[in-house]
Amino acid sequence: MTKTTLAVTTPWHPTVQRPFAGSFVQTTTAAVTGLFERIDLYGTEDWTGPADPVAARAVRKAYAAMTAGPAKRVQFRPRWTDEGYWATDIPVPVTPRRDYADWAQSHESALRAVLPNGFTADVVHGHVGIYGGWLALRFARPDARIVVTEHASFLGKILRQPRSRAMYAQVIERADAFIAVSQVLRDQLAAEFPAHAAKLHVAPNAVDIASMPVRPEPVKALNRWLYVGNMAVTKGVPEVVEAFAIAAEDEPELRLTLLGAGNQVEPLRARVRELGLQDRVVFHDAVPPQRVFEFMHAHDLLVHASKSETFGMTTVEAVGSGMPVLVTRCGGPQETLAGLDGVAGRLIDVSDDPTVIVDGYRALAEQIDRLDAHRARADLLARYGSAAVAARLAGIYGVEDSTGKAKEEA
Amino acid sequence: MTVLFVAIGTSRARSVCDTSAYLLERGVDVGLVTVEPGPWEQAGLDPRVRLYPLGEGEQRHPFARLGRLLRRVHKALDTKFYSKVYRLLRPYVMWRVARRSALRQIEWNGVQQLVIGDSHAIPIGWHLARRHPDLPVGFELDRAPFAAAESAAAPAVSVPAPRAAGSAPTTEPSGIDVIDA
Repeated sequence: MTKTTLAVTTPWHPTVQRPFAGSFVQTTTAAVTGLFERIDLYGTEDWTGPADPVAARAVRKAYAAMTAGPAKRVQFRPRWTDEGYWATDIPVPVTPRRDYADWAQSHESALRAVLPNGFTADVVHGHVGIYGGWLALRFARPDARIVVTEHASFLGKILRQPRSRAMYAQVIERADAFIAVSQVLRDQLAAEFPAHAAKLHVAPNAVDIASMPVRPEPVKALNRWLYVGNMAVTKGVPEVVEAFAIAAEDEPELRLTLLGAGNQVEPLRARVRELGLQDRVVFHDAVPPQRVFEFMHAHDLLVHASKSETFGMTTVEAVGSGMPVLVTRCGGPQETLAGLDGVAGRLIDVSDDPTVIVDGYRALAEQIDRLDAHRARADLLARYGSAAVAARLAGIYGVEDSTGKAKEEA
Repeated sequence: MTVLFVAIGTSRARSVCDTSAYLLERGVDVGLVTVEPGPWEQAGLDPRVRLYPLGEGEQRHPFARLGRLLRRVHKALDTKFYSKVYRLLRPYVMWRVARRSALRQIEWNGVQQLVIGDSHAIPIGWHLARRHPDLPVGFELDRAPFAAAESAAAPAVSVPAPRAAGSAPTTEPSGIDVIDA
């Protein structure tokens, strides 16, 4: 461990309201605790308020009076986390129907009340360019090293807003290293900011694969399908249901569980009724991350037909737990499963046609004896495990890793 | 000993409900100043939480009465003009209502902490903070005073415990998870 200190700023981190938000930021921060003398994480959480300008102003004024100035009443105290770092939760009143630039400035105002003099840390790591990256830019010491990780699926939307794009450009200009969690995201950033291509890295968030429980028995038949995630059209859940209906026609033993919440729950319930599959399709509300593995162990195949993913955490969790996957080439998964197609499961094309899923399922069912769940897990551990990611981040942070070997790569 | 929440809407209901459960498990009384009780019941708030609703008082306020009158006379007048103006006045109305009704029912000497539960409640929270200069105020519960009872009680966040062995989820319909249950 060095004498160096790290400040992390993120809009996503588990809170009482959102206990599962930003668990990847939590895991990544926990992975690097051994690299620093002290880590302070500042979680700035959106609190959506009134849209009316006058009412929104009243909220902002009252918030400012309570959190800053001579009569301030609210103290923000860091709490020690089980993961081994200090965390300060800061609510940020935000006004709906504004742009990302406005919201980023709301985060800045809220953090200013907590840290009027900015970060003292040697290294500042901001998660999400327009939020944590902007705060890193505004609060870091002039000589601090700034590292930004981009994992926002809404990056395109940010960059289409002129003010937000201008702020983003400042962040990428100031950052010493800019990390994308996937090659797809890195390519998107390089196309938008070609002058800064040299400082763009691809480094995934850490995934705590080592502590993922492995299923006791390997899968021998793909009868019990599972979908985990948002019940949204963009996730391809309707296609999964249609594909299941086709496959289930010939295979009476097939079952499907849809695990998650979202606006497609009710339409899909109706569709399942229409298909007469009520007794073979189960809907289940979202569960905490640790309970997802119970579902994975009780099912045989993770089916993910998403149209776009920057990383695809669920796929990694499934493979980490020894579960075969049938997943679309939607960005992140073809990177996370690079070299593992036919080992961890099967990759299929993104399509609105459910028969693509059915064909993939049938092909996978034929090759199930050739899958190697142990090799797939070991491969992911070597790439995304906490130790691997910590070693990679040590180089990007410019600090010594746990072996004491400097790995400056930026 | 009471912890008082102020939350106008239910956008952060999970935090209010889980923190209330944490306090109730430790024998601490909990109160909630809000607009309508109904959405909180749906959000799963423990029925032992004492509610101080502002909705009725708001309906009795002269501005709200004026709105109803306008609606009866001319609906467009209400939607195009009055409702827009009322949205701006609502924080003021809510504070007047709170001061004249709900807040009079609260035994303030027994309130140990005031927790502001959502963004809309921040102006009322600030008014209350000024009225009670010695009252600790926060956006989340300061759990330190209750830490002594920590080990004897359940976890702070009501994360469902892993199911016992032998009751792992199955793909078979099982009651609450069933379509058309």
